[in-house]
Amino acid sequence: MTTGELRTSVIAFCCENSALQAVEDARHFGMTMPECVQTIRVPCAGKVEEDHILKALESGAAGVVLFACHTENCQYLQGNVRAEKRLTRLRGLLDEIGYPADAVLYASAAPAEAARAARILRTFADDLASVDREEAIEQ
Amino acid sequence: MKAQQQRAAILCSCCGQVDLTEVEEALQSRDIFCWRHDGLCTEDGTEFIAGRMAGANLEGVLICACADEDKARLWRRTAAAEDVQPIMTSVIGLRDLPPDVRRREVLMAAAYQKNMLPVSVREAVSVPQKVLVLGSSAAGLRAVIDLAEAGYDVTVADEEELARRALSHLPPDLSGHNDVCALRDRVAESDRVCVRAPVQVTGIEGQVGGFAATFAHADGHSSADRFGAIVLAPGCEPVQRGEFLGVDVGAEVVPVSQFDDAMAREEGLSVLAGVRPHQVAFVVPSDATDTEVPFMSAVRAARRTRRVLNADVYLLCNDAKVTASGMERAYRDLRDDGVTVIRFDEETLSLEEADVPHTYTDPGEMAHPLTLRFAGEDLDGAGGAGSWELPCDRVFVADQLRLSRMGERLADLLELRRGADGFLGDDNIFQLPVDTNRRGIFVVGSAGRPKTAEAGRVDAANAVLSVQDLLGGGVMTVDHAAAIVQGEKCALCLTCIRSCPHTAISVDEDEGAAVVHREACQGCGICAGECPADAIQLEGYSDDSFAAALDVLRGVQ
Ligand code: SF4
Ligand code: SF4
Repeated sequence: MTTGELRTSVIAFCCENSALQAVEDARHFGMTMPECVQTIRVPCAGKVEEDHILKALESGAAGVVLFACHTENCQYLQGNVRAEKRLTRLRGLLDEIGYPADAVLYASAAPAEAARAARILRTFADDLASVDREEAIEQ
Repeated sequence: MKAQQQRAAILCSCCGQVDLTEVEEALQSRDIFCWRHDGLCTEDGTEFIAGRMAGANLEGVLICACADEDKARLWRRTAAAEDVQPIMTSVIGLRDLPPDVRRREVLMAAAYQKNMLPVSVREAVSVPQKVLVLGSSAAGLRAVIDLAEAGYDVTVADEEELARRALSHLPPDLSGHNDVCALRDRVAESDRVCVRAPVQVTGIEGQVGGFAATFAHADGHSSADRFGAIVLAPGCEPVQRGEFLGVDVGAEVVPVSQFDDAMAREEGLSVLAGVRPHQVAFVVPSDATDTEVPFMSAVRAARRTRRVLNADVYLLCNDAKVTASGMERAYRDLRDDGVTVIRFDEETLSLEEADVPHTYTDPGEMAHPLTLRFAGEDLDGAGGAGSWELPCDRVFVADQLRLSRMGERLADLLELRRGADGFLGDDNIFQLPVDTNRRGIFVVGSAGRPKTAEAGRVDAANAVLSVQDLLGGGVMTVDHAAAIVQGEKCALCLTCIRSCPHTAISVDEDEGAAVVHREACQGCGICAGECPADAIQLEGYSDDSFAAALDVLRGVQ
């Protein structure tokens, strides 16, 4: 991969009822966040289609986070459950089409959990970076 | 510009290079007012923006133009200085977008990404000022009265005689016995209330604002009516225990609800079959302690038995309840009355019937036909911890409660989501206190979760407020259907109907396609996410606008 900048970018689909607020707060309060994270606001994590995640990967994102509400906290009751199922299914497919399964992550956060959201994103970005390095070493 | 418009867009046509017609239409359809300029990047443009922001009574503004970062910053600050929320300010270069992405979608996506799409009131539709209350628990009857007083025409329907279920198998905690009788009389007297009981609800079609219900009456005729909203109050009922620890429930082992029932009917302690027990145990097994209500019923019954019969009374409860809130006082009261409270280990509990026939020392007296064995600890410390062998004349078992059968039938009929415990109330914070997964259907009282009469009263008041919110003075405000099915793509696989958490989708027979009912749709997009044919698009987050949002992120140059 030559597009170094994009290779490390993370796209986070954030539910507007929870995680979006958390991530925005994390930025606002200056918490340590990976530079490369970009958010896409979604009405509910249950809306995010496999296709959208794949498009995000195709467009050069190294990783995609699907950020939903905690269990039993979905405004639309089932959205987070469906999102998680969909992502699990997708992870199974990623390998076949040439992406590492770890390139996608399902996570949850409450609107007030800025620190948690930041931590999740940090860990995810770090993991991606270390995989990247390993690959580079192998080559 | 109309006074209530609070969001605006300033669009640059870039010397006429960008056709803004479609974009403007789209924004205006969402109540975003549009100003047009043909060269915002010029000095005149900056003045234009400042002029529009001056004294503007706006919540947010979307500025669509190409500009360098400094200029964009200046514009944002100009907006912020006029209290136009900077977080809602966005600068997007329309002209620079690749031609294959439709500009309209980009704008809508941008507006959505910046929280600019208002949850706008699209249309006011008139709705019947009629509410259907299904079931007649205490909370339900209370809701009937309150709704009638608030000016609604109320129909209350029950499968049994009005209030019968509440009066016949529930402890007073739940039924609010005297209350129920008084409420029932008031309901019967009210001329705003139509009572249909006993009746079977055979169908409820339609959505909030226009529920069409059909009833089959006991005499064989049927009737139908339309309602704006529905309040469910079918209550709960005790699970019939066939046996308890291998001993038949009936004679010596008695559910607490029967004790209560007998007391409520003022038949005194005839439930004890005319015999006078010396030693009585109340057992609260863990299946009865999902809520505090069965426990509190057992507590009250134990105290009463102690006072009226002057028998030795033991109350066995398990760990969970010892620490629950509000229990302190209950223990104090029990102790003051001389009831022995034992925390027992449920695993070790066994019950044995004497294999010799009961011996009566005196006529009308019993001699411990039962023996309870368990490991436990006397909470007063007097009896100490260890294994117990407790001979009893009667063992009362706290009731396990479940949603009433009527409630179950209604849940199926209305496709309602039920909590893990089977009740209609949900742990989901967005549904508290009286909402269900369907708009316009509310649940009050113990059908939601076993509740005291007082908590049921609070439910009823909440339900009235919810109905008022929804039906207002006969006008309901309805948003655009956020999700739209493209009929020609729909394969009628019914996936969306199964996946919509709000039961907002049905099959349109004429169209041969699924159709989203805008009055019930809450805009989550789950259906769009699940549809295998990609036949559903969500406004502000269609596939096109998603692609656009991605482009915006990538900073497509
Ligand atoms: S999921 Fe899609 S294809 Fe299936 S019924 Fe619904 S709209 Fe039609
Ligand atoms: S957007 Fe959500 S509420 Fe609306 S029809 Fe689809 S699944 Fe149901």
